[in-house]
Amino acid sequence: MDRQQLLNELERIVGHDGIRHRPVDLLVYEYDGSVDGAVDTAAPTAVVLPRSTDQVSAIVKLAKRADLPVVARGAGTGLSGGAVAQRGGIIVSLTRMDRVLEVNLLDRTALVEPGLINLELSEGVKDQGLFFAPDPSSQKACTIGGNVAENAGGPHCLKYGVTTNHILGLEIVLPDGDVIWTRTAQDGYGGLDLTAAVVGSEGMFGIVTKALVKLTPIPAATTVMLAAFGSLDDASHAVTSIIAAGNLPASLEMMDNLTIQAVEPAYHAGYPMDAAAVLLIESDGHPVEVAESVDEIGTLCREAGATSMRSADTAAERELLWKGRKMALAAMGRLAPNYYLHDTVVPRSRLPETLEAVEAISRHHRLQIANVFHAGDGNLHPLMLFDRRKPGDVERILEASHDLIHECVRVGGMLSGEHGIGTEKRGYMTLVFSESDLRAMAGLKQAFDPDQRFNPEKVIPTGYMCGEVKQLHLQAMQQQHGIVPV
Amino acid sequence: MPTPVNDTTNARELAAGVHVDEIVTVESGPQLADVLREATVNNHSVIPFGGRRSLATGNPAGPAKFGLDLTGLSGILSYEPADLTLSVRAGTTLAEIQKTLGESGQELPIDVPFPEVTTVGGLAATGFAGPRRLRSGSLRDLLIGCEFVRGDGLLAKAGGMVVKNVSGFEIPRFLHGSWGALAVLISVNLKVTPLARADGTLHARFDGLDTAIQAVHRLIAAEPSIEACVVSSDPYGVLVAARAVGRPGAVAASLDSFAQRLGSEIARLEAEQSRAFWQDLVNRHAEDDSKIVLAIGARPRDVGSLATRIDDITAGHDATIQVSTGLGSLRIVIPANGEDLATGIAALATADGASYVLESASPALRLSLPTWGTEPEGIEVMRSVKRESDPGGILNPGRLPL
Repeated sequence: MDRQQLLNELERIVGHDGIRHRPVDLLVYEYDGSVDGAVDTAAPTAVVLPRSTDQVSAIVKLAKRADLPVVARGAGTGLSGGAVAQRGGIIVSLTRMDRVLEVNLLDRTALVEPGLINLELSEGVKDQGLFFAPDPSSQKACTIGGNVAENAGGPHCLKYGVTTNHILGLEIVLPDGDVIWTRTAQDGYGGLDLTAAVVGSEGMFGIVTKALVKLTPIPAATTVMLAAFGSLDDASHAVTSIIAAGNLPASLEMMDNLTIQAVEPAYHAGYPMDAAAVLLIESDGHPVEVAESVDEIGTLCREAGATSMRSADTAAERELLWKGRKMALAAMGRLAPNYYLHDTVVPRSRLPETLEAVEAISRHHRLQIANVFHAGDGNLHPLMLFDRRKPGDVERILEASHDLIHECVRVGGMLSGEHGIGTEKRGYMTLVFSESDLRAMAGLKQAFDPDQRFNPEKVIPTGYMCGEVKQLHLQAMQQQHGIVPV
Repeated sequence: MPTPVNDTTNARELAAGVHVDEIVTVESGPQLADVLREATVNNHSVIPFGGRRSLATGNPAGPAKFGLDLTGLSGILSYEPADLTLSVRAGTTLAEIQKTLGESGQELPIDVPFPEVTTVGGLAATGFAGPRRLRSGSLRDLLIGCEFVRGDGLLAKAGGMVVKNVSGFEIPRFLHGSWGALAVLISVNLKVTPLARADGTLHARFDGLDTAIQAVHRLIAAEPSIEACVVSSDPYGVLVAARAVGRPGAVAASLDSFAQRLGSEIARLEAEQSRAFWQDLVNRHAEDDSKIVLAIGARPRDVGSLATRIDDITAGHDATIQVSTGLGSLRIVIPANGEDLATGIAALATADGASYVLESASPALRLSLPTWGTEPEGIEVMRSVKRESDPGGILNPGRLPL
């Protein structure tokens, strides 16, 4: 099938206004939210914007006939290159499928299309006393379909779990164009939990065209505390003691001084400018439960050396405290023209030493690194500040990133807590997974998508799909300076 | 490496109607891999088991060559209270796990039938979830990693020992509820939670099942922190049990509030009494060879009308109907001779768009009434996964409709 024929057939499916193919229109689709340099860019042959499941299915069937890859895309806010068409082909942008089809209060569910923006779902059901718990920082822009693909997290995942804990079923288009509803393993169901497999599969198993999501009741009481500390170490010890004492806050976030320097002048959230670090601790639940845990957490923070504390009980006060956290990335422009936002995760008790290691990496590579992250989960987000125009800056952040990943793995951590592997960390997979582990993952991919139609060149390192495993594995081990996969 | 122990002296029945020629005991992952690899080469079928609580669920399996006893694969591999994470071998019982966690003031906040014998591998394989799924979830929500051997003998791991992780595909959760058809678990990594400091249950009595279910819908809507709520109907009447866990002050306040909303309070249980009540209820959920047990999954909005119709056709029989209203799940227990009744209940459920699984029944009923209900969507993908993981089709052959 030649290019023109392909474009004609695509246009027949999605209509004239549903297709983009001029080079200038495709340019934006070469990228997602990840850092150019950490992730390669690539141009698709065409971008289509379907409005229905039938259209998505027809597109996939056409791609099969034309033997072209298909890459699903939501808002393009992903940070690991997941929505970039590495081998070209057709990008299916799902942003026009953005409706809430049904909300049921007894079921506490919403049936939504994948292009719906995360925050719009929570806003839409707020008056019914419900919310959609996964709340990634990009929630004003990112889509539910993207959240499903990446198994997105967010600050409130500490208590409420990540996206997979909130998805009850998915309508997906399979690589042959067939449409199925997946279910989860639960009472009265005798079949495999395909939902569990698809969530977090980075668009490699199927294209999500509808999602049945769980809605969570808004807790009766919520309090946000701000605790300031004189050192990063004191703050991270406070985190471990809060968790170890048997408290499970709704969220437990940390920001270091560099972040405060960017955020406070921009939003006036009330963070003390001289603090080495602040913790933002949200407790929610039954009013009695909240009042008691706030007292207990306050005591623990003071014991850990908190220099000041305050709490916000009204919605307006809470929102202001949260604004600084949620808008932190946007404020980084005050410090440097570019940043590389990292995402690794370590066992929580290893936070203090990992933060020390981050400081050492910062000094060693002469890079400013700001820390703003989900401390309660051990999910680090070091922000490496740089200037793309300066020769050598991109190389330095990549080297620092390499050191950071090795350090996190050394203390028992993993490559990504919520941003996904994509192409960004694909080369690091052999650091934590053995040849057999990767073969098991590749086997699952093979079962869903034997022709490697969906989102090729992601997650699983090159070669593991085809069996030339050993050779590549040895090479990777050597490159990684003798680190033996666990 | 010690060789697996083959016990051929006593070819046996693992559970009613489940026969194997030999029982093989394994004590390590590599041993397990050897057994499954060889079984694949020799085309020998294998039925893995732990606490033997759920062997009779599913399609009646033909006689298998090996029963694979995993109870020797037990023990806690690592437990870091400060991280709230635990790695444990699959044959470990839930009682042992909860005991270890309890010593550090932590727990797995899930329902487990017969924790003294139920193994964590068995709980994962069967995908059991009880009434606490309403707020705290099930084992699926706590799984953060696992090590397993596929049917073809490939020993692999997925996930990790961190509470939030998207490095690679979600194999641990995918294996949850796969009934040992794809792989055998060696160990699982779990996130654990702080032990609830108090536990309380309020009982209320109602005249009819439908009014009770409507009252519970209203209760759940008004009480975001309710832990579990079940309506039980049997020949003695209709009882609602509502549970709260957390700090003592919050639990006491919640029970007051439940009482006010439900009216007709008949009892309040605290601490160990409350835990014992739910344990007993969950035990009764589990398989019972002497009864027929049907598990039905419906939309919560539909449970009222479905339960009422089931109540109508079971009137006069010795039937128990348990409804987890907020979860849309029903469990119907009827006497073993109620085969026509079971068929009628299954028909009501499927006509209503619900699904059912025949959890416990005589081999005869399991041949006449599809054990797993209607064929799930995506069966071709499921079969493809089965071929990829277990190309010889040796693991639990025929048990799931794969």
